Amino acid sequence: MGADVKFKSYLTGTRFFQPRLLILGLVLTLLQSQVVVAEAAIVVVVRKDSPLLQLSRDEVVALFLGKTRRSNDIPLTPFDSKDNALRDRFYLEVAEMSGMRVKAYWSRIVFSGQGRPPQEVSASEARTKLADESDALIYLPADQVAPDMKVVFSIP
Amino acid sequence: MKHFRRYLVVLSALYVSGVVPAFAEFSYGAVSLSAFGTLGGAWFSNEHANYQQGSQPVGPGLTHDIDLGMDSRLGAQLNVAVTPSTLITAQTVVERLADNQFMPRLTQANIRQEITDDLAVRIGRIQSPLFLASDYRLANFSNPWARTPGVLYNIYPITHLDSGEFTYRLDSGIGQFSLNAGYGWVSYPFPANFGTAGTPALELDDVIYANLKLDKGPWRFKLSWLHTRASLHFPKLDEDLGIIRLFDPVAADALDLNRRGIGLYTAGFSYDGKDWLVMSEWGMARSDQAIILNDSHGGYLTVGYHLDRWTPQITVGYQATTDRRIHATHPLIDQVVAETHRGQRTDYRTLALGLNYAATDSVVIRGQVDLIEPMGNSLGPYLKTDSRYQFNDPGIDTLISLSVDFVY
Repeated sequence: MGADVKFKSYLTGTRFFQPRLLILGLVLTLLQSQVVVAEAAIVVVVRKDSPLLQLSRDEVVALFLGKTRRSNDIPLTPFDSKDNALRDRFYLEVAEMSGMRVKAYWSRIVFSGQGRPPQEVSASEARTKLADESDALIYLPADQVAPDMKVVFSIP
Repeated sequence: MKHFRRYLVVLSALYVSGVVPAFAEFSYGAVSLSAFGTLGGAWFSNEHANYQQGSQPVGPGLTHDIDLGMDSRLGAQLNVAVTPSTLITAQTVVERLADNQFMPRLTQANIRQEITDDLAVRIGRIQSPLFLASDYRLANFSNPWARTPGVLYNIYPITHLDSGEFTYRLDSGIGQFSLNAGYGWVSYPFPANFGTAGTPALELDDVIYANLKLDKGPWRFKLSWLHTRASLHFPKLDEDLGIIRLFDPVAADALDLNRRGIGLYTAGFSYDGKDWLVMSEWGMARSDQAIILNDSHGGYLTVGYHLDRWTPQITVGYQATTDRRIHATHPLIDQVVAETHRGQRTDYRTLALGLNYAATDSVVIRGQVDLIEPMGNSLGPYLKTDSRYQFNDPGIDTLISLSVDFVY
């Protein structure tokens, strides 16, 4: 009987409401996380006058990880973004690699003296690279594609 | 220990003062400076033997309860891209060496020239490219383990080579092939506990090597071959050989390690996908004819799983030796030779459980427990033992490691 009273008191007392509020808070947080802010898709672009028409996902991964430097005999020089969030999203979506794994990958190459990762450039520097270097290959949000660029790969 | 403390103090001072982070940020056009390092501690359950790593003369166990020096090191690397196709690399590393000192040594100093997009040549001091993780093993941040598996990597623990080499890349429908081959030499210091003053060195001349890699998505396959002429001379050994030569000149000549041919053969693969990590390698060292050094072979299999920032992993491995022993006509000398071969038996097997946590994109914290079982009448991976070490029935020992690996 004593135990029953204690149980009812637990149900009606503050100790019951505190967890209930906590659960409510968690549900609201989860609902909030479902409201995804639509981010522009990432596209890989070259200069408009490049003979390159398109790249496969495997080619994009191989180019940005330094495993190859051309596609269909067309030389290409990839540039990484200085924007950490964009760079992390790009490698996660195209190569399924986290920032740490990309760092570990390039550490193997750099510390064995076999090469260097792509040069990191800002959005404005990337546009300059495209204007100056015919083999430049960059990635950027789809809503930033300019008329003098050609999209060769889009992350679906 | 005092040298390690000094190293730790210097390292901490550099960090606190912001010198290393400042260098890390320093990257102007063609010049870049990078750094890597490990701060690690290891505890070993066997008080009568030292767990040994690479060419270090001490380790946890007999010498230290907890050894802060076995896995710890600090490295810095300067890259200068003289032209878009010419890269100069210089790397120096401070770690515990064969003479038990924490001293900096030059681990890389080379110039790499890309002749075409597919062909590159490199001359100078390079990281030895034999195993899958050989050429970046010092930057342990890139590896899944607390240290490279000794079952295989201690068969050829030499980390650098003075060499000239070429690398040819070929893109094909199967994947990206890469053929690397070269010629070089190296002087490799032995731990200084051979009952002799100084640090004797194993001289490897006429090192010829070739390795073939295939990269396909997250897969990498590698086949390697290396052949060298090995020489080992230090006063105590030469003195002993002089005495043996008086009784059995043929045996003395056979025992004299003077430009004796040794071949190494390895095969391995790795898979580093979104979720799973799998690595496996096998290798063998075999002399062209019976010499004083035993032949050995070893291999391992690592399986890990990426869980966001966590990667638990398990590694099983073994190492075994075979002695195509030299026979002497004099019974006493024959007994000495037999003992020398017996003392080199390093047969053992291991099971390691590890957990890695990526604290940031540049820092990994690791914990690893190794269960090590030397076979009967074998030293396993232990270099130094006392009289109470159970040589006939060593049992299973435990090595517990905690470390922080970083790159900048």
